Amino acid sequence: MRKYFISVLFILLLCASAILILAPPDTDSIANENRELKTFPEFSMENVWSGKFSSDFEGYVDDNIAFRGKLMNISDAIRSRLGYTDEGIGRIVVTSSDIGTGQSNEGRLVLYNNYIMEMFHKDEKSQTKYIEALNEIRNAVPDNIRMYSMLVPTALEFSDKAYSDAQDSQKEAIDFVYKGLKGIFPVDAYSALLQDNSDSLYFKTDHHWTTDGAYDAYRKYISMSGGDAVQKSDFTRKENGNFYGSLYLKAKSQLTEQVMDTIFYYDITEKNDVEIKMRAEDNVTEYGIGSPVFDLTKNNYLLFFGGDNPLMEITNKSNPDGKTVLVIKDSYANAFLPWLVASSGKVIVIDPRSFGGSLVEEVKRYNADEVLVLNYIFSATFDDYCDMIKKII
Amino acid sequence: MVFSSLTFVCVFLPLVLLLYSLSKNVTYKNAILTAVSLIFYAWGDPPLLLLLLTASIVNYFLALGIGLCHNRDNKGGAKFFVVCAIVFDILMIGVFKYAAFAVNSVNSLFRLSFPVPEIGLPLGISFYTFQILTYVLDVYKKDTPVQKSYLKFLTFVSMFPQLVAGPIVRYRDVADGLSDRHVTINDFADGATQFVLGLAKKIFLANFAGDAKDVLFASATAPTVGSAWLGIIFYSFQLYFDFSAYSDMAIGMGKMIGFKFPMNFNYPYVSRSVTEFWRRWHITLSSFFRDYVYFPLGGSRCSKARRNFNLMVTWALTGLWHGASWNFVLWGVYYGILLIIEKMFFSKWSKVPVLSNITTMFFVVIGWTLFYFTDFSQLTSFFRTMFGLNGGLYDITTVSVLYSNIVLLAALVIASTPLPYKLFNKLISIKGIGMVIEGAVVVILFVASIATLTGSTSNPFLYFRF
Repeated sequence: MRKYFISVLFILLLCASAILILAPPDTDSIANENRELKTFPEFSMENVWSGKFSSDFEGYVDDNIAFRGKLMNISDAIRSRLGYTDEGIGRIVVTSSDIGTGQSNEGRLVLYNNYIMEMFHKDEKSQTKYIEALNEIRNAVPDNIRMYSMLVPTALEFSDKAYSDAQDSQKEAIDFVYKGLKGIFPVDAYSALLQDNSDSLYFKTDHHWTTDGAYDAYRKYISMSGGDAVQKSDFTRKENGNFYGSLYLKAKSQLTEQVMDTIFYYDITEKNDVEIKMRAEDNVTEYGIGSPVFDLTKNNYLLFFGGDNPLMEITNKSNPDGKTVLVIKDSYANAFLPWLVASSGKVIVIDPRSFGGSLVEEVKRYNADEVLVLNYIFSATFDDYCDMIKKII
Repeated sequence: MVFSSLTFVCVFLPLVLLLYSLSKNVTYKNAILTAVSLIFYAWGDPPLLLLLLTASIVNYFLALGIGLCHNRDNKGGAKFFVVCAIVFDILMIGVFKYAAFAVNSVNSLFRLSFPVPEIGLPLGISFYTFQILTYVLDVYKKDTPVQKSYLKFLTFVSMFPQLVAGPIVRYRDVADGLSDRHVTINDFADGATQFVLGLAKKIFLANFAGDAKDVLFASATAPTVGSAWLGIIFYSFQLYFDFSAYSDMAIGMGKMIGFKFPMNFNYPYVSRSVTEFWRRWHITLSSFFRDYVYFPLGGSRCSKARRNFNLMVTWALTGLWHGASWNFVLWGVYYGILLIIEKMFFSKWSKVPVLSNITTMFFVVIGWTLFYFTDFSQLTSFFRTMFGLNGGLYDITTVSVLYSNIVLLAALVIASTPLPYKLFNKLISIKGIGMVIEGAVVVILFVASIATLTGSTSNPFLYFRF
């Protein structure tokens, strides 16, 4: 009797799990991860032989399992019972992330005091490559154009010492890069952020800084490049809803309390007539003409310019005599750019991850006055990101 | 393909069992089993199939040659063929697994710069080459008759449950089954339970222990004595549960298709001596080296000095089998030395309960440290940390990981002993409700496993590297 019962039970379980794959997928759970549902891979001899078919097939199965969200909730419930999280101690978890370069980076997160923070891990080989890339840009751009480098630390660096000490020092990594730069002005965003004691500089569940944090760094930049910084108080502070940020999904099973972030911005467009144009990866086709600075359809960090774009040409028509600044950047710049736009004539923004053209050509085309390379310190440790910067020179 | 993946559990396994059960004809079963095994093997990297097929064809014919010579009483001929087979197999594993290592070692030893061949380690080559060797050697020793059917031979070589990570099944253990086997409903039920227990072991014990270890070993972690010990302890558990889970699933699936594979792990972490540990850990590998290396060298029926030499050779090779890197050789030699010391001076120590468990585990954990670090400077630095010469006693990472995995740690300790299994067996033998308990455990663990596999990134078995 037992043997029949267990055998039948097991066969039923296998049938049920096969049906899970055949049944309609849980598209909501994929949408929550901000990506497209993987489709059935193309079956060709070439794909099969190279192993691409099998890896794509596994991706398809993983995505297309029915009740995916519910199953993941069960999984989260199990993971949260492996031990205790003491409020005073926090929790450290392993995660992997991809900043959009296609390379996945192993990392760790600290969950403490309702903040989810990435732990920094220095990589002097990549950091050296980052230095080389910036020095190469310096050599390729005419001498009369001033060039700046800003590396931004993350929230954990300014958290309690017990936590910030558990990672490699971001300060040391930034100094390491700054020391290697030749003919490039380092912008000390670090001290600017350190001196500001407000708790609104970083999001709790997202790896980015807020526009308040970016404002501190902006003031530092302007103090070096000359000119007057705009005042926060000149603009209305607006909110556009609550959200869980990029780190939330990776850590939610481990959180004792779930606190949402609020996305906010200072509406510089009230006093500035800003026009945006974009260029696609082929570097010829223009699109996105008239895109908003603040995309109010987004209630998270994507609010700034709707996210990352290959090349943006942002003209501040209210400031026709202002400087033209060319920015090479990762997503950290997005919260910073509105401030820069408010005090410039034109800002050209290039994202090395998707831009297909030549940086030097763009400097010439727009007759840029200065070049700013703005990234968060983690990007300087991502080998492939450094390669991408080199490629666009 | 990895057992602990949705593709395997939800697609591959149901399809295989369905196709397999369509006919009772053993040739049909062999053909289906071989076909799906080849797909299983080729899944991630199809060109590897050529290697597996070449190895099987060459050895098949060489074994036929040995058989023919035996029939004609031609000892010289049989010897010739068996030497050919040994040379071929060692050469194959040598080229594909050890070539880069050998060239690197020669280069650094003599300060030369021979080009290092870039050959990726073919999946499971260490396992299937050894299985093939057991067949050829047994045919030569007349321990088993020659297999005339290539299909049956290929079925043996490629059998997916144990193809890539053991247990190392000897041909003679499954020879009869290749020609005639029946899956009894009893075997199927036992196999199903064992498979599910193995799957859960992999996902909930091995992977979670691995996650905890990863936090502690991440290179950004400040080195502390506490993190080092806690990390290597989690790694020791990960290694055991990972590998034994694979064997459990393999043995379970073997039963479901009518084969009985040998036991590979017998609660090694309850051992009271290093000798006992190796009787309980990766049993099919240590018995392979015992039967095909240690005994032929003379075993222990010789002078003590010769026995010690035999032990050292056997253990250096066992170490080398685990990976093409000097740290594995060191690990093997470490066990050789431990075993000799134990045999010479501490043969009675194992009679002291608890203390002998602790000392044995201490040496096993130190062993896993040698096993983990392929880079000697990292290894030295880690040892310094373990014994307080680097960094502090503990930091926030140590405390946080300990706290947030304390339940897991307790589960790992308990599951390393035979207690849960004994309890489970007791419960399921209770008349009336035993069956229901077993069913409930199977359903809960299966569903929880599927749920935990969902949305998780890939988690290959550690022993795939070997």
